[in-house]
Amino acid sequence: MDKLLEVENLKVRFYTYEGIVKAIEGINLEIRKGETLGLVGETGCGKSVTGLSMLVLVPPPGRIEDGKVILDLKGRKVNLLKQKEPFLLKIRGKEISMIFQEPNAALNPVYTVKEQIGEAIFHHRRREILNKVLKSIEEKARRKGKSLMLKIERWFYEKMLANPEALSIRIAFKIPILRRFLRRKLDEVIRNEVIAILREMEIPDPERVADMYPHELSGGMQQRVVIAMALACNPSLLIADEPTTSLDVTVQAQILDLIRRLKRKFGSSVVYITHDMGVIAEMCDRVAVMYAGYICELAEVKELFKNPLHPYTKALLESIPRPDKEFKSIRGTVPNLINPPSGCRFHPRCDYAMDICRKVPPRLVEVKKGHFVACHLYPEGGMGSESSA
Amino acid sequence: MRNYVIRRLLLAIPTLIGLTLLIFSLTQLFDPVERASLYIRDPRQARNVEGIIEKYGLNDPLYVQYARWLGALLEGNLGWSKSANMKVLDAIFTFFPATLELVMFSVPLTVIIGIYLGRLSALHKDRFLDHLTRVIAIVGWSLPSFWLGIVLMAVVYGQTGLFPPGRLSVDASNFVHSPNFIRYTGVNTIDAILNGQWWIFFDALQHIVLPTITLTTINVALIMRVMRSSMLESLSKTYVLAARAKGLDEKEVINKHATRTALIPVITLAGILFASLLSGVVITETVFNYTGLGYWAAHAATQLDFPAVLGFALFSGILFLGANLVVDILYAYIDPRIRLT
Amino acid sequence: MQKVEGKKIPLSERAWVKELKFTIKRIKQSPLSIAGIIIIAFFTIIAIFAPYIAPPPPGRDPYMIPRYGYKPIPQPPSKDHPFGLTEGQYDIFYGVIWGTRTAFRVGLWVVGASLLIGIIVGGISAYYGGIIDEIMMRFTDIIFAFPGLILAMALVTALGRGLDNVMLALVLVGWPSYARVVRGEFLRVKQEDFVEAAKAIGCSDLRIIVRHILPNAIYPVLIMASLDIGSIVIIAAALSFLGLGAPLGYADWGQMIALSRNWIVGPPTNPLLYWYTYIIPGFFLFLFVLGWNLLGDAFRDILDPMIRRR
Repeated sequence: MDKLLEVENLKVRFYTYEGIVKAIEGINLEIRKGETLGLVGETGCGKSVTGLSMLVLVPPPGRIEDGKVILDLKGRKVNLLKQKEPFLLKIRGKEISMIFQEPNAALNPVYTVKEQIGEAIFHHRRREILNKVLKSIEEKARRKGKSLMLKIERWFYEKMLANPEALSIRIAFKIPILRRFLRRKLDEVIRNEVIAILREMEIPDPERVADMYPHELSGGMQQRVVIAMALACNPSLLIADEPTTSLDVTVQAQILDLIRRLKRKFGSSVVYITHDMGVIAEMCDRVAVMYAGYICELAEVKELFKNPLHPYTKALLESIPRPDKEFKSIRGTVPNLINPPSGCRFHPRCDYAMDICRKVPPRLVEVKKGHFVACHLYPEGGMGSESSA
Repeated sequence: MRNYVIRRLLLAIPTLIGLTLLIFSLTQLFDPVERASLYIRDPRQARNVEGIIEKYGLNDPLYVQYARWLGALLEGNLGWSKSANMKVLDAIFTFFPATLELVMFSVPLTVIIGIYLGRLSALHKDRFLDHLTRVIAIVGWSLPSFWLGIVLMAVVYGQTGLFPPGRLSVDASNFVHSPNFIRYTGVNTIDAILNGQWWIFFDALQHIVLPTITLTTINVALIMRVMRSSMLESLSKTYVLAARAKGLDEKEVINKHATRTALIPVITLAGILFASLLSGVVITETVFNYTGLGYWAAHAATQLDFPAVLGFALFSGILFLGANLVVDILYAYIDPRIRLT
Repeated sequence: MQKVEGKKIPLSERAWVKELKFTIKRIKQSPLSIAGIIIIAFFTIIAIFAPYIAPPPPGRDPYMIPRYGYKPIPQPPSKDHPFGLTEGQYDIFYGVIWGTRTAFRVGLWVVGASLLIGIIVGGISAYYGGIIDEIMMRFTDIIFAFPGLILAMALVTALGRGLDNVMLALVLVGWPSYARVVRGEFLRVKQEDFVEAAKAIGCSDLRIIVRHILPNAIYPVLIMASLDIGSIVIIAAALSFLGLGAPLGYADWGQMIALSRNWIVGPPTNPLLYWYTYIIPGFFLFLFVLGWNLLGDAFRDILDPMIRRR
């Protein structure tokens, strides 16, 4: 049970003109090393916000009010919510990465693929890249002899390696022609790195793709680029926020395949956020079912499908359209989180609602080994302690 | 990219023709006697108006007249300006450099200040700085240019004698018109530098300060408003969130990702600013007695100097068309998505 | 009337009432829009009560400012003439009060007419498409090729001076902008899924246009109009200032500022001696335009359905 990331009692609220949206009211999660955890629920249940909270990137008017996000950093346990921004900048993109739902929107239209992936690479693997540049300069010097230009370039890159914030570097980068000249070698090395990564993503013709703009690529290709951007620095955790929802089914299969293979290759953990139970079945080891900002059930995938306990989970599984069964939907609508229902937030739509459901919110309880439910049908003290997931 | 430019140039041609049609239709609003004045090159010809009408066929069918008028236009004959006492075309070339000088100074200033304030405003949305800059911008936009000019002139020039109206002081003006001074461009500041006469440079600069302040104050709001909304929109885009998720620091995210895409619509606005300036310049030049195109056009209008007003309108139209063309091409250069459309 | 499961929804729960309440709440939260409303209210009161505040001498056109002499030199504010007398001994107070009516007249008529023509042309253009659309858009392109003031100047020179011609010229120059925006919005909304859905349900064309497309397409144009009133009033005043608009002695702010041109810089001992000739009319003009601009800006933030809840 090697924990990579632990979310403890997370509370997130959004302060809008209409009122305070209580998006997430105290959830607990655990992501183990090397596993794929699924986060499933309807639109608006808070799964994306959970993902963003792990990166401490909840955009205003949202605010993380309370809780802990504890990351295992090479043996050291760090609460990300208590860290200052400079520390978090080193985590984002390097230890934890995120891929988004619409690849078209996640890529900046005015920069090429190599520029955007290159950004991530250069930011986190700076020393490595600069050393490569210096090595290539040395090589050129050996082959073609030392020239003045090479000397200037070498001096410049050594300076960059030693002190990236140096005034001389900043000024040099502001002057257009000088900048172009000085960045040549750097851009070349970065481009090669990018091509290597694109190749790992199984993108055909990586040399050409690297120089292209996002709008010149198809949706599937764009998403591969986004994945490449996220995995460029070998993160230990990848948060995938509905990455295939906006793609065709065939492309979806390819992308899911790719993610599975890369996960095996790089050994990272994945948090897979989706509303599609079919994808969960295919991709995940364990799954957490979310509703209106609460986790209602958490179990291993096989167990959940075989033995769903929470009424919401049961309803979700039953609402998957099947040719032989009558179509059944969950009555009612997702609640307004400014004035959420009292007690259990699902009680207005629940077929099994009892009196206590209206008054007391249920807590997540371990009913079977590894299978947790938050429902008054399965009261506490039934099996084991109320340990968090 | 090249195809785009060619296509754009071709598209401009019908608009150009339409432009001439519009101006031509304005000339038809006058009766033949007044229109005869468009063909007078020499004041002595004015006595024989009937003969002119006959000679130039001013009662001929419209399309014939249009063809003739267009022909004269292409030869460079736009008629005679009685208010300036020279050919309209000559008047345009005489007065244009002054307006160019004014635009040269105020547009970059307006754009730079506008972009800076807009960006600042967006980054501090709904906080004090945002409200302050927005109020400044709205106040600036609400100021009538002629009123601002007058008040500035009264308060600054009236009280201190600094920054006088006009283009040059009497001494400088005499020197500029003397054989000792070579007119390279017609733009005083540039010519002064090229002639090595620094005192004329500063003199010209002094005269241009108040008109520039007037124009800039009013137009900053335009740029600022667009930059602000563009910046807000770009800040809410997913790729900005993705950039943050990559671990880039806030400064880099804002400058490299948000600002760069936010600038794109502002560039288009620069073209509109140009037009706005051509309009605003009329008033400002009149208030400050700054002898540019606008000054000439305003006086021509009051003196019912039709050829001048129409010539000015045509010239402005062509200039504006050209500016939009340049902006469109610039736009394609900056935003790679446009090149395909 | 809205019903849910056979029961009537009480007034306070209906959607449009809630939206209205929200709009009012937003207005109250925004000091700028409140300022704009106060300013415009102030001017409205002045315009309505002009005959009582500055009674016109009997038998005269009330829009012609009464003169108290023929001397060119302006007279400073006094008990009889609270704002003083400008060049030609025109009463500034009178001119400024009645000028408010002129300003409202010019602003509302010009923008109203431009808006109407623009909506009709833009709507027809978007609805029929094809060659009609092409022709109309080329036509608006041509008008757009000219900076507004300059084309208006040319038109006024050709048509002859006077405030009415100025207004006509401004309408002719102004409607293309509205037509463009309306057409663009129409086309955009036409493509939205809910229009497809309405067609699929079987709504008639007219119903679709009036109930679905129009309410969504009209917001940007309304906001544009409210922002435009200020600019139109300034341009009209500018044309009067140049001598192309209101005739000499007419109660128009721009015309009054024109009268002050010779008195901007007074004698060396007291250069600001004749301040009242330009500061006062100009300030009224500025305030009027500021009020409309504040209002228009605030309306944009409050009414635009995409922005209002941010």
